[in-house]
Amino acid sequence: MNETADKSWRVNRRQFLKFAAFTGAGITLGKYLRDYALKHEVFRQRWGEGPGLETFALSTCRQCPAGCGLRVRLVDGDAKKLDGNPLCPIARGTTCPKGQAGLQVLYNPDRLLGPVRRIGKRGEGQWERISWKDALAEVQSKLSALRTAGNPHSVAWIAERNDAMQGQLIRRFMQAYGSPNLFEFVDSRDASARAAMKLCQGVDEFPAYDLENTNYILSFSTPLLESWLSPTWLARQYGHLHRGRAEHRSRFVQVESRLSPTAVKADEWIPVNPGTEAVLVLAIAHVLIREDLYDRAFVADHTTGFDGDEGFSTLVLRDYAPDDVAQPTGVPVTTILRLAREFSTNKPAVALGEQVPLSGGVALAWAVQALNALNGMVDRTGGLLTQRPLPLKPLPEFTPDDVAQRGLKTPAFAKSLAVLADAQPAALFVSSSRLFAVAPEAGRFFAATEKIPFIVSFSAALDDSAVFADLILPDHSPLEKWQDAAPLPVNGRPVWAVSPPALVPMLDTRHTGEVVLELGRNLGAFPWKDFTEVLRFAAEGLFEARRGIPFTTPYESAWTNQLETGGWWMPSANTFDEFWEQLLKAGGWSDPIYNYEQWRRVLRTASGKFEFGASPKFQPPQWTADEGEFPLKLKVFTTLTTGGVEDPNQPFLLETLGPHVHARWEDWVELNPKTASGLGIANGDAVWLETPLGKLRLRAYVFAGALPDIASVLIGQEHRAGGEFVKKVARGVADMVVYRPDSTDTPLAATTRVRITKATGGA
Amino acid sequence: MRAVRNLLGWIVWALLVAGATLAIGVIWFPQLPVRQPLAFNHAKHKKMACVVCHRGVETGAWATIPDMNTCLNCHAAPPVKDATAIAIWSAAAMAKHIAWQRINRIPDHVYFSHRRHVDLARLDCASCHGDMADRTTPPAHPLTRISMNNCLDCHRQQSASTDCARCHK
Amino acid sequence: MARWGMAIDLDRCTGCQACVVACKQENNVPFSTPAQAEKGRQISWIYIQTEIEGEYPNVKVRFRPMLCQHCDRPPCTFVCPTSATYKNEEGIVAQIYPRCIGCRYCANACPYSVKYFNYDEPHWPKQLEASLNHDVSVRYGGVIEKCTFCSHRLTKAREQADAEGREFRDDDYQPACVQSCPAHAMVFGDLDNPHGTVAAWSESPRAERLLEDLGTKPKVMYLKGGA
Repeated sequence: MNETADKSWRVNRRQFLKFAAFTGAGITLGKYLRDYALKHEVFRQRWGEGPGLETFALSTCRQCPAGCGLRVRLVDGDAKKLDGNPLCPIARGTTCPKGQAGLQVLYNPDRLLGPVRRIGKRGEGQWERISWKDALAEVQSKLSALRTAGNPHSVAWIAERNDAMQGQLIRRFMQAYGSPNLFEFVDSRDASARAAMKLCQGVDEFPAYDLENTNYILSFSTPLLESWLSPTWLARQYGHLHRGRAEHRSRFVQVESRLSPTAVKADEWIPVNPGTEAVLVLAIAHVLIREDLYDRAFVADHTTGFDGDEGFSTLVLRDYAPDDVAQPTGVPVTTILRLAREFSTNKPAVALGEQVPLSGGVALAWAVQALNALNGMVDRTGGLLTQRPLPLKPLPEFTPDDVAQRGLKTPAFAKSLAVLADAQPAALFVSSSRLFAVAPEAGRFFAATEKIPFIVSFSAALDDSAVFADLILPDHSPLEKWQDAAPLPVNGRPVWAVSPPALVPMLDTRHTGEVVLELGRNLGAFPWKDFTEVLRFAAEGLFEARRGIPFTTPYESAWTNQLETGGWWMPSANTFDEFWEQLLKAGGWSDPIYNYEQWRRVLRTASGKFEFGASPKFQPPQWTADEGEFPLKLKVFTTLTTGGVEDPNQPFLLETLGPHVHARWEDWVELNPKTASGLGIANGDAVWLETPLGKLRLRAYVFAGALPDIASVLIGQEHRAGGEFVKKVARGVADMVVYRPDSTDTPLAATTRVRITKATGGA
Repeated sequence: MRAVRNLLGWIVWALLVAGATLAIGVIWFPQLPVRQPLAFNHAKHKKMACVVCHRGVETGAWATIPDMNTCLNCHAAPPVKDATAIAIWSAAAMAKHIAWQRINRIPDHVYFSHRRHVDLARLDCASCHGDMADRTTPPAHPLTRISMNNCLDCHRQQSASTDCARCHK
Repeated sequence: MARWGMAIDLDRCTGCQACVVACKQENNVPFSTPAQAEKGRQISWIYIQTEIEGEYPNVKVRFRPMLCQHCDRPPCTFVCPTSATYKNEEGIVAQIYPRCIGCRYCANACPYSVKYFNYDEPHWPKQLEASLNHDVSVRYGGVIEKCTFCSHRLTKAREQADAEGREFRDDDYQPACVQSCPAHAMVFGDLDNPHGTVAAWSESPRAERLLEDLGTKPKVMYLKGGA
């Protein structure tokens, strides 16, 4: 007994070694765990070792064409936050959500590291990195081969319309090279509004709207608070019109075939059958004329084509009585009467008729234009304006050589994506991807790219405009480059934003403006050394214009407006260099004044008057496919968060898509509760959407704001390629929309019938 | 059977030791040792004020670690003797960058402003950093332990705010 | 001592969500994945709450930017077992992440449902880490996070005022959402400052506080929309 006890306390060699070994193992394990824990400490500092110096730089937002001024917060050279430039007259220190998300463009994980060349088959996604020298040499040799063969016109270019210098350089390049096939598109505006301006006022430009001074907005399917015109500016005006003026709140009526976020925030929403808005507008015109509520003086002094056998009033009084219109539009007669009376008695009032995405058709745009004229609201305070020109110095005179002259005389085929695809150009340049997200039947174009021998994209990532390319020459991110912006008409006052890079380019990318300069240099088209020189050249026009000022405070802007109204103008700088410094310090230039009722400037028709007579014949919407097979009508929309963005591969935007139906990270269809229950579909179900062009799977939201028998579907997300975020979302609804242009080659929105069936399995 | 039980006992023992080592290691040495590229001698630089090299102490939240240009402002020739050190110095002088390692760290969830403490509250550097100025070689660990209790003691003494959200971000 | 509060005019608000994105960018709020969104685990310190009322065609939809109401009697703080969430002397309801044990009592106690639990470790692609704001910590899996009225901006603004040797004014500091709002629908300031805009707005006949009958005394005021 004793012996055993003693034995247990005696340490023999074997036990000692065991003890030492296990203790050592324990200590080693503990140390390893400690090191592991410290290395993976959750509280570790993620930021760099820099001094933490905070700086601010100005830049220009390119998330949509509106070109708001930005103020970038940088810490040790890393961009941390974007806000509006307080001096920019459009943004005034604020931005829309797209502007706020801009850093997800700059630091996007899917950006290309440098130029790449396709290896393997088209669309296979196999690429190799090449040097800029090789890439540009390849482009140059293709271009000169085509020119030597006398076929410069077989080169086409797809670009976003951009009146700023980069866009002007592309136009000049195509002119010098000798191709009329530059297709410039706009997806933030309804192209038919421009056509209507041309018809009625002889002005070939989009209309501008004096929304800050209006009292009543009558909007026909215009996505005023979504992706239209300039989201930041419109949100500012909305706040201002509602509560910004003491004791004076304006009224906003939205006529639309869907309870959109715009309709939600309108004072009144009037549901209307899709594609019939134009008839409703003319019925309102009918009431104005019948009840003698229209502006007789304006109509008598400044219009033609109102009276007479074929005149506007005859036509409207004959064909568009509210009793006849109520049934097709679905708007009760009493509502039509009330709208007409409200519209004519709450002046200044303005009617809007720009349907985006796609188009409401020139008939709607023309009817709205006529309604504004009837109400005497053309070029009056709070009405429909004509943009004043931006006095940038025009590019120097240039005479294209003989080859180019011959090329330019050939008929242009780049009128729409579908026409361009059928024409099969020998080379195609693509500098914007927006078109592919919203173009109807884009699939046709993508199939046709097989037959285009050489395609160059300037895309910063492998998005829809890059996926079919042979060469990709990635552009800088907007924050990394010298850039300027000349927004499309907004409120009639010209604005030019200009800004240097906020930070140095991180990747082996190159400014597309510089690349165009390089390509055009052999043609003798460009006398400038680099893009910065181009900007300085353009700004000289502003310096010499003897009006306007560099961006400044609201007070200074108002003061300049007062001075200019009185015929005074004070130069802000004595020399151009001083002026240029001021421009860069402020972020741009604007002329805050608008002179109303300059009839000779705004009515440039042959008669010098507003022409009612040019009315396009209204045709009821032509729905493709028959009602039995495809019982629902398709209404397409985009959201504020991804509408108009070059690359929607931005998680902050994809998770805030549709607050009205709690939708995020998906494409979806909105269905009326009655329609949905008829189809056996519950909220959140997965459904098949079928059109004559194909079918795809979406999530259905049963929404009380959807019209019966209408399927409202989000479009505008790319889907053939795209980065890691957007490819989880996009389904490609645009491909399902039937392409039917109106008389001005604008694809109409109300064209397609669909069938919705419940899909099995989750969404 | 008995052998298995014995072995289990030993494993439990080893785990206990490991736990103790982990706890002691984390509490007493909460940071991995830091090794500097060169044996910087603070004492030799003592006649200059700290802020001469650690710019930002009086103007920003972060006291900065000097970059190579700061060194080159005074040192035309390598201030070090042995061959490897001279090589490191020359490489750093070429690259205009030397990878000094940060030794004093505050957790990510704490906002600490040097300007607030040094410039506005007139605190001596040594009250947090110890006698770093007298060091002839760079230490592998911070000379003092900065814990929340140290912060709070001083804040209470000085009637500075003890609101959690003032420092925790 | 200031008492911070906010007023939101729903008649100006367009529901554009600039505030939502601005907040996420400013406060290192991790973006969700489709899978997380599906489970309702998306984190948005401020988001647009939608109320749908009625049936077609008489539907009324309302948008309301919803954020922590920074109650004067915050129910979340009473249930916190570790005092990780508390109301400070300036009325900001704070969340101290290292104290939080992730019990989610506060999230359940909050009648406005504006406290968010990190079900997963936050993740950013390497490139996007460069845009993280070092003035705000990155939270980790297992803790609750919430709107702080951007109190890191307050700390910095106060220090700036001291460094400039002047009095701190309540317009020295604005949260990111207020700064971003293009419709100027949000104002922020000291509720005890009788000359401030927030005080003026909160005296409007349109002003209301949410779920006031619970006795939470919110410091976010909503001005009703509509004419």
